[in-house]
Amino acid sequence: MSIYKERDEKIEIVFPINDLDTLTGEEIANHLKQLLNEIDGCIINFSRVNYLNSSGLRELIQILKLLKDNNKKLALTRLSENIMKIFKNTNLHRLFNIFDTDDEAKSSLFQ
Amino acid sequence: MTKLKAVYSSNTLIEAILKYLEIQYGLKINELNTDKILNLIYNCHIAGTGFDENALNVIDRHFSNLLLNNESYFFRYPLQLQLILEYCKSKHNPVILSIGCSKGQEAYSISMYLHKHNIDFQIYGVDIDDDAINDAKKATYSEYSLKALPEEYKKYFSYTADNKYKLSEDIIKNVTFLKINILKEDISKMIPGADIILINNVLIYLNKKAIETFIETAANLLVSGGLLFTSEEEYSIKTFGKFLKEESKKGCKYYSKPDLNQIAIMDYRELFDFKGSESKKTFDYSCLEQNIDNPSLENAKDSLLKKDYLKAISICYKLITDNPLFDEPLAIMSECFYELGFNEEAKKWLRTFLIINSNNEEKIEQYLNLCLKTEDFFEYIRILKKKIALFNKKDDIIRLKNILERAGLNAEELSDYMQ
Repeated sequence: MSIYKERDEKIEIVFPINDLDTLTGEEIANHLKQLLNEIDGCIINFSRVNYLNSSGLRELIQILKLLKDNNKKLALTRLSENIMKIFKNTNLHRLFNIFDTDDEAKSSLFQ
Repeated sequence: MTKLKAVYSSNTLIEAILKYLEIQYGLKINELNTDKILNLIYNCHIAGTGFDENALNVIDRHFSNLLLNNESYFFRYPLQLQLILEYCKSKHNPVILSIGCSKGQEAYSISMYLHKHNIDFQIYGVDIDDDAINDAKKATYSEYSLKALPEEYKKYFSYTADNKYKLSEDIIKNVTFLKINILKEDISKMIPGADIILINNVLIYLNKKAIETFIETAANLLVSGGLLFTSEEEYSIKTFGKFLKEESKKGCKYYSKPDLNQIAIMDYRELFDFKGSESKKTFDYSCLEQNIDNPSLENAKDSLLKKDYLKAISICYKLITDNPLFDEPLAIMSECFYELGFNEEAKKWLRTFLIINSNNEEKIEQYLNLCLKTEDFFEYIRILKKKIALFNKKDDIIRLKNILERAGLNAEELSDYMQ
């Protein structure tokens, strides 16, 4: 298993473990598809991600699209300095809602 | 701090510390410094100063004294000085950068040498070690530092009460010292570019990955035609050849940065329409129009045709915020940013475009063209290599080989593909 999941009422919190690549991304997307009726949105917590590549980024964009199309919200939290650099290099930090902590994400995005 | 997990998942204190030194400072771990760290741990333990809490702070404080050799002296590489002078004679106010400047002997040697020959210049010295930088700013040295100093330069020093030699203000004033960790901080934000870079006795301490980063950073910082000097021991490091051209003059080996513009112009003349050097300016996204009626791709294209670039960007930005997988607005936005002279923004959005359309040859080519137009040749070469790895097209291999060879860069690794 490459993701760990937690539920906080109507928010699904997902922790990808180690690498965030195509496989992990697809796993998250499939998992969220099953939950669309139950949740308001999702937090992807990066605290356990060591590595992110371009196919991982593409999966994240697809997840963002999936949630947007269903009127759900997506927040990314706990990005390390290096991973944040990858987002800034592609300007993707402008498309995603990025927060330092899960609590900040909950209070600004899901209130 | 990165990869803390790797540090904390180590089994023993010594493992953790060595891992930390590797990640934070790019240090090469060998038997000698493993021994030194073991000693440090042991001594702290014996002295009862403890090592359990803040172990990494203790390491930050001690690592430079313990593991790096900060001893140097003036005029250590006289041949380099001669070539620097020769180069600077034809330049207006050249910028010189001493990487791993330690206590400043190298930077001040150049300052003295150029001052004596009436050249205007600006020198930066950067180092990772706070103490060394502070010593460099004080510019007071022991007799050892002056051991190779030619007689005619002794006039720049005055003898102090505590048996030291203080350098004169004339020599100090053109030199700026900065503490930078090149692996972690963006040096190009502090020093916009350099005509000459010196990396003497720095890379020998670093691991392979850190060496790659150092050399690439230096190569990017160097202006076209600029020179890079390094000690003989470091000169043989292969990574240099990926970015710079080997040169030799008067018995001194050095590297020069090929004038990639010239080479590219020959191959892609029709693509070139240079925009000056404003590539680093940042764009204020809050100036985009917030209320766009009827945002559509047609409207964006229309605005682009009418050269209303800001409007086109506003529309595209809205479109991709609504649908992040919509790729066409990304390409339009990139084009608009390029037209407005925001080269970095143009490239960033086109990278996202590539991420969405990975493995699409035509779109990679679009990105390559932008790299050319924005004069980002190392990125061009990097992406072209990736394209070759993906598609293995003979045309691409020949194109890359031509560019590398014409620039005098190392094209050896391409021979794997040529078979």
